[in-house]
Amino acid sequence: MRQIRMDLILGAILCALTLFLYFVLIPVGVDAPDVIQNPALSPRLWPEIIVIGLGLMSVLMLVKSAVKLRRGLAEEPHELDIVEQAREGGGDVDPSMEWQGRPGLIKTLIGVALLFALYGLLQLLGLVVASVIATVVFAILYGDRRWYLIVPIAILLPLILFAFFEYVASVPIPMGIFR
Amino acid sequence: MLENLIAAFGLFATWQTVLAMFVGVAVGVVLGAIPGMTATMAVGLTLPFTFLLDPVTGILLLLGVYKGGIFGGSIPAILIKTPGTPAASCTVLDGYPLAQKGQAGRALDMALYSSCTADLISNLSLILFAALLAKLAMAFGPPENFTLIVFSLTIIAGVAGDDLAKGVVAACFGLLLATVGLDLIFGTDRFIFGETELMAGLNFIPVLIGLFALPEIIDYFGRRATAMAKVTAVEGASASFADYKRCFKTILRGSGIGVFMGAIPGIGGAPAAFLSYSEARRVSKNKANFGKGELEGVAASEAGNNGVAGATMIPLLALGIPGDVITAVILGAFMIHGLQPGPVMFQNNLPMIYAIFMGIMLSSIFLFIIGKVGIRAFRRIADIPKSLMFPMVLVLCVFGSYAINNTMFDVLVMFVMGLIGYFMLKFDLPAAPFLIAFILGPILEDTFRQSLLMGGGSYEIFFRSIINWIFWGLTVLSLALIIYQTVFKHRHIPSG
Repeated sequence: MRQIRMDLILGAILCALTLFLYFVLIPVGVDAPDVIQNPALSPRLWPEIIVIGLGLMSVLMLVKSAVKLRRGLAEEPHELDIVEQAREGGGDVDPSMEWQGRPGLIKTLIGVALLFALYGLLQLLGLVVASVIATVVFAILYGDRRWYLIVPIAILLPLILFAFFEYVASVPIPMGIFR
Repeated sequence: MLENLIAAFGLFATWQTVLAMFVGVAVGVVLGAIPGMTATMAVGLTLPFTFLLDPVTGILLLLGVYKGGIFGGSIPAILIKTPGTPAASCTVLDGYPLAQKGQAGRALDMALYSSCTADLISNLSLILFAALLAKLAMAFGPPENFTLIVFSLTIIAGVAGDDLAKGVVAACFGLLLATVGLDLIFGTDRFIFGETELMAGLNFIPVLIGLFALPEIIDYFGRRATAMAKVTAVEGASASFADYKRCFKTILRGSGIGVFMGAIPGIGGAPAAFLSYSEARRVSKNKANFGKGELEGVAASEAGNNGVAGATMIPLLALGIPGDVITAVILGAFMIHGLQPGPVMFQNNLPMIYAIFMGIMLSSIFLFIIGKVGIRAFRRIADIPKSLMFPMVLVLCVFGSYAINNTMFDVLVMFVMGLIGYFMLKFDLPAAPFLIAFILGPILEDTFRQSLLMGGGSYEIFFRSIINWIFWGLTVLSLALIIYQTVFKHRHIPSG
């Protein structure tokens, strides 16, 4: 049931997004010459076709989810044999990873904010120093406290990558205020 | 022919190329064995390191990582019931029960033998069929290429998940993102909004890395390991020649299924593994033992998913269409080196094609050596906790994204794509159709517009030849099949 509600929300978001894309973003974001002999060659045509396809799928998703919700269809699978069970869960069978609910959501929001803060730090301090800090901070945020592992990894990996790109691949690595 | 072979040997037989392949396979096995690291991520993260290499060496390095990664995924699948790659989820079914019975060594050996056999068969099919298909593809013009790509996209959108609509939505987003940049015909802005960095469009590497590596990193913030999975010891006897002989028919069948499915754009390793497993179970005399520790089950799934590896290169080399997400990355690698795979490459750059063929045959041998030597060593890799692995992956992503164009803008693109990828993960939108559509989108639009220019604006050009009609027919058939499967599956879901 939860998945059906998520699909309904997604369908609604996509429908709204489609309208925004078609009526606002494409007219504003795509420059087209005033006179085009063949409208089929307009720079706007291709994005418009894509957005129409997106819109159709969004409506389909919305209608499908609304119908399922109305009928009270549960997302219980029919009896799956072992192959279908494995295929349904394929790639994510890790029994040790559990979502933490609200605390998990807060940590995720903090993590995302830190990622973008990392971007700023990369510009200020350069890739190496910012990566050292990021490794330590993210390892702690993930709940690890093994300093004897975290610190060497945090220092060695960026240094190795710096050495490779700077001296082997001849890609100058930004060092921010340390250059 | 002989001059081309000699030239190819000259391109291939350098110590850098041989070393790169060896390292690639080893890296692939190691990264594939880490739960949470997919073969796609492994290839994507390796890609920036190929810039300093010549094209043949770089592409063979990536192919080595690909093949190593596909096999590597079976190691944690067998030892800790956690597939290292999605294609290895089928190997769990019988591999883990075998490990629990104290036969982990036997299961791992069989996984290796079937992987190498299937890999070899897949490589041979690539060598035999790619040239043939490329010859046929010489008759393709822009209208035929357009219909071919439309057909490819329908398969990709349809098989990338349970929900066709979501697959198509993801593909539409990929196509839309690919329109960012200057319009190729009129040179006008499309979604640039004054940002000069966007004039050349978005580079696919930060998009790839952001989409495939970052969502897992973000998602893990909200999770906690409840218990460390115990890694089963690699004990017991190795698989014997008698075991291999017993499973040989299964391995051949699985390889054939893998080759067939790999050659069709968009299918990939996981469906091939499951189909091979289902078929093996259906015809086996030990049917009842499947799921409880049947060696044939391990052989079938590994043969299926490794049979795909070489065959996915057939549409890539012959038509310039990626067979799966990883070959889409490899297509990107070709483009970065200024090469366009397809029938023209067979005409103008045959030595390079032959050099790649030689390299992939050697990579099968390296896979066997590294697998045999490394199985017992690599089991420890499954132990690496995500709390340490993910920060390391993040640092790799940052350096890799920056190194492409020496611009921080690509790093920003990677972070933004990571966020988008996270929302896609949460709403169950598949990332594979997104990426493949992103790569094929510009080609699709170009062929669309070129065709219209050729046809004077008339859409009849898209129905000009028998090839067009065949691909339109296949497109309709594939859509009908997908819709039928979707409807049929939903009829089985009980109400209430």
